[in-house]
Amino acid sequence: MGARVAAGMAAVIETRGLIKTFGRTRALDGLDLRVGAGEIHGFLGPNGAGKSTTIRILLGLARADAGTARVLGRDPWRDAVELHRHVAYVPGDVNLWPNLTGGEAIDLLAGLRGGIDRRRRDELIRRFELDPTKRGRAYSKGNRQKVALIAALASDAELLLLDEPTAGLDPLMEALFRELVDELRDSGRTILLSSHILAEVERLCDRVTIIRRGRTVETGSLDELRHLRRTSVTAETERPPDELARLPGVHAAVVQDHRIELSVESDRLEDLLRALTKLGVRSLISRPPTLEEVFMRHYGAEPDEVA
Amino acid sequence: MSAFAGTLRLARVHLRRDRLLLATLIAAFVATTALTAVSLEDLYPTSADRERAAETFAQDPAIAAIGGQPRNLVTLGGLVAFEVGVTYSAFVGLMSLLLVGRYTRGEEEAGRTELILAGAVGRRAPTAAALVVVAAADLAVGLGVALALVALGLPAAGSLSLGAWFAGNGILFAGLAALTAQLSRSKRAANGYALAALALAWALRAVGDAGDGTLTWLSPIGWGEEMHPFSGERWWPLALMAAGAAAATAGAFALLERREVGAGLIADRPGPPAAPTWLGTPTGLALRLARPALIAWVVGMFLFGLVYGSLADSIEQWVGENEAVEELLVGEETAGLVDAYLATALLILALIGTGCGVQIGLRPHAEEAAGRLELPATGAVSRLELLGAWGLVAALGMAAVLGAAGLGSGLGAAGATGEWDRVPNLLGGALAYLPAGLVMLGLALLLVGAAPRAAPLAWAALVAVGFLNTFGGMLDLPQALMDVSPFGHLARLPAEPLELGPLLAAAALGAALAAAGLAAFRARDVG
Repeated sequence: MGARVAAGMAAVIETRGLIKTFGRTRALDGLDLRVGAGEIHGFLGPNGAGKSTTIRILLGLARADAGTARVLGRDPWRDAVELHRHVAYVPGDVNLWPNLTGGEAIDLLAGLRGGIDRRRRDELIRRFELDPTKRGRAYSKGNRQKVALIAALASDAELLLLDEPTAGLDPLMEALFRELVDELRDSGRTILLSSHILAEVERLCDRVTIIRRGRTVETGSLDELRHLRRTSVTAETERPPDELARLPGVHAAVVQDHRIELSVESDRLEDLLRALTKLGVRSLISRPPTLEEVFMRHYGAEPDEVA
Repeated sequence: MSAFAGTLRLARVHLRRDRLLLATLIAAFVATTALTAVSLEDLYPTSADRERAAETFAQDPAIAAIGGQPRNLVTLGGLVAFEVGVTYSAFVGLMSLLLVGRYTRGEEEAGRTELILAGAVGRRAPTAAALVVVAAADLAVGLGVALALVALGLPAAGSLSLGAWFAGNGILFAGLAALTAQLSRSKRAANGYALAALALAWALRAVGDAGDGTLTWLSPIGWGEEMHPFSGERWWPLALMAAGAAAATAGAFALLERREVGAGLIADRPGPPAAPTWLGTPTGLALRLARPALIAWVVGMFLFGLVYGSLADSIEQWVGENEAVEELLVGEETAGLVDAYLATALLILALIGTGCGVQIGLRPHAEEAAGRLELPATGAVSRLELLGAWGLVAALGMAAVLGAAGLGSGLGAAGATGEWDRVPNLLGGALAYLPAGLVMLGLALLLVGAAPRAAPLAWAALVAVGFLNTFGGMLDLPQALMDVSPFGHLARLPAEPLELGPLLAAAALGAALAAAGLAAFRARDVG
C-alpha cells in the first residue's frame, strides 16, 4: 500500500485550522485535512469528533467560523454549485422521500447533480440487488443507503465524500462496496471515506486521518501510523524475563514465570531483541499494531500523547 | 387491559413535548372568545342595540351560511354564540385532528412508535394516548371558554353549553382522525382525509343553515348549533357527538388490529423504477412533492366555492320575500346585497386558500427537519433555486387554488341565478386576492430562510389575519390593528370596484419578504 502513498500529489481537499461552533459546543477546533488526488483517504474519529461537520463544510452545506477549506481548488461555500458538479456525497443517515420510489430518488439526485450514466445506474441497481419500484418509506436502512450509494457511484464525480457509507449494509453488500471502491481507485477518483469499520479502512485506504474533539491527532499512510506505534511481543525465555519490563520504551509488561507479554515502541524493538537473546529465547511472537490498536490509543482512556 | 398498557406514560410524553404548543392553543381559544364577548358588549351595550343587530342578521341566508343560524341575538350570550360558535367549533376540530395525526401517524412515520411498541406497551396505547391528550386539550378549551364567559357575567348554562359544543366537536374530530390515521402510511394523507371530513361537515352545515336546516343535522358542527347555547339550551345533541366519537374510536381500534405497525390499510403499490428528467430539477421536485396536497386543495376549494356561490339565489329570494329587510336596507339594491354576500364569500375562500400557499411555502422547512434537504442541496443547484423553487410552486399553487375557488363560486352563483357573467367576475375577484396571499407566502419563506425554528409562526400569522378580516369589523377593532392584514387593504370584489394600487403594493411586499428569506437562506447552514 505504501507505493500508492500520495504525499506529493496535488491536494483535492485541503483544510487549515477549521473552526466551527454550535452554541457552546466547539465541533471543529482547528481541523487540518489534506487529501491528494487519486487517494482513498480514511477519515476516522469517535462519535462526535467532527467528521460529519467537516464533510458538511467541504460540501458548502455549512460555513466554517474560521480557517480555510479548498476542495478541487475551489472555495466550497462560495463555489458550491460549480463544485457539486464534480462531487458526489453519501450521507451517513440517508433520508428519502416517503412517496418517491428508489429509482425516482436515484434519478432525481443524479439530475440535480447534472446527469447520470444510465447503463452504470442500471448495472449498479442490479449488483446491489435493489428493487427500484419500492417507495422510500418501505426501504430498510440498508436499502436507503444503497439508493444514495448508487446515485453517487453512477455519477462521474471526481471526488466522492462518503460518510459511513456501509452502515446498514449486509456483509455481501459490504464486499460489493469494497469491490466498487477498487474500481473507482483504478479510474483515478479521489475518495474521502469516513468509517467506523476499521477493517474496511485498513483494506481500502491509502492514507488515514484520525480526528478527536475537532482536531487532527494523526495523519499519514497506514504504514507510517503503524511505525509510530508499538509492537506487541510475547516471549518465553530460559531465565526469568523480569528485567525486560524495566527497559526504556517497554510498556504494559506482564510477567508470568518465564513468559512475558509487553508492547514496545517501534524504535526500541532492536534493544528489546538484544536483551531477549541474552535471556535465551524459547519462543517469540511479534505482531505489528493493527489499525484498531493505533486507534484505541486515540479513542480510549490512555492520555492523549500526540496533541 | 394489556392492549392499553403504557397509555398514560405516553400521554405524559406528548404533554411534556408539546406543553407550550398546547397551552398556547388553549389560551388562544379562551382569550379570543372572551375578547369577542367584551367587544360585543361594548358594541351593543343596550338591548335596543342588540335588537337592531338581531333584525339585521335574522333570517339572512348568506349570514347563516357563513356564520351559522342566528338565535336569540337580543342577548349578549346569543350574539357571542352566533359570532364564534360554528367557526371556533370547526377550529377546535381542526386543532384536534392535526394533533391526533401528529401523535399517531406522525410518530409512526418517524419510526418512534416501533421503538415504543417494542417496550412493555400495548398495541392500542399510542392511539389511546393521542386521544387522551387531545381530549384533555379539548376539554380544557371547553371548560376555559365556559369559565371565562361566566366570569364576564354571562349565564352559566349557556356558557357551559358553548364550551361543551367546542369540546364535543374537538373530541369527535380527534376520534375521526384516529380512524383516518389507520388508512394511509403517510401522515399527510391521513390528515388530508380527516380534513376532508371536517370540510364536508362545514359545507353540510352551511347549506343546511342557509336552507331549511335539514342538512345541518348531518353535520357534527350542526349538532353543536342545535344545542342552542344561550337560547334555551338543549343537551341531548351532545349524545350525538359522544356516539360519533365513540364509533370513530372503536373503528380506529378495529382497523388497528388489522394492520402492522408502520403499515397502512391502503397498501403501497410498486411505483415507477425511473424518474422523468423534469423531476431532477428543484422545481420538478417541489412540484412532485406538493402535488397530492395541491390536487386536494384545488378540488376542495372548487367545491367550497360551488357551495358558497350556489347560495346566491337564496339571498335574492330572501330579499324579495322580506319587505321589512328591503326597507331596512334602503338605498341598497338586491344586486348589491348579492354582491356583498359574494364578496364576503370570496374573502373567506381567499383566506382559506392562502393556507395552501403557506403550507407549501413551509414545506422546505419540513423537508429540512426530516433531513431531506441535505442531499438535494449537494446537487449542482444554488440555494436560490432550492428555496425559490418552493416559493414558485407555492405561488402558482395558490393561484390555482384561488382560481378554482373563484371558478367554483362563479359557476355556483351562475347556476343559481342564471347570470353567467358571474363566472369571469368571481374568478377575477378571487384571483385579485393573490397579492395578499403572496404576502403571507413571503412571510413563510422569510421564516424558513431566517428563523426556521419559528416557521410555524406563518400559520399563526394567517390565523390572526383571518381573525382580523372576519371578526374585526364586527368587533370594531382599532383601524391600526386592522391595517396589519394585507387582505384588509384590498378592494372587496365584486362589491367594491377594483383598485390597482393596493394590489401592486401587496405583491411588492410579498416579493420583498420572499427575497429577504432567500437571502437569509443563502447565508446560513443547511440540512
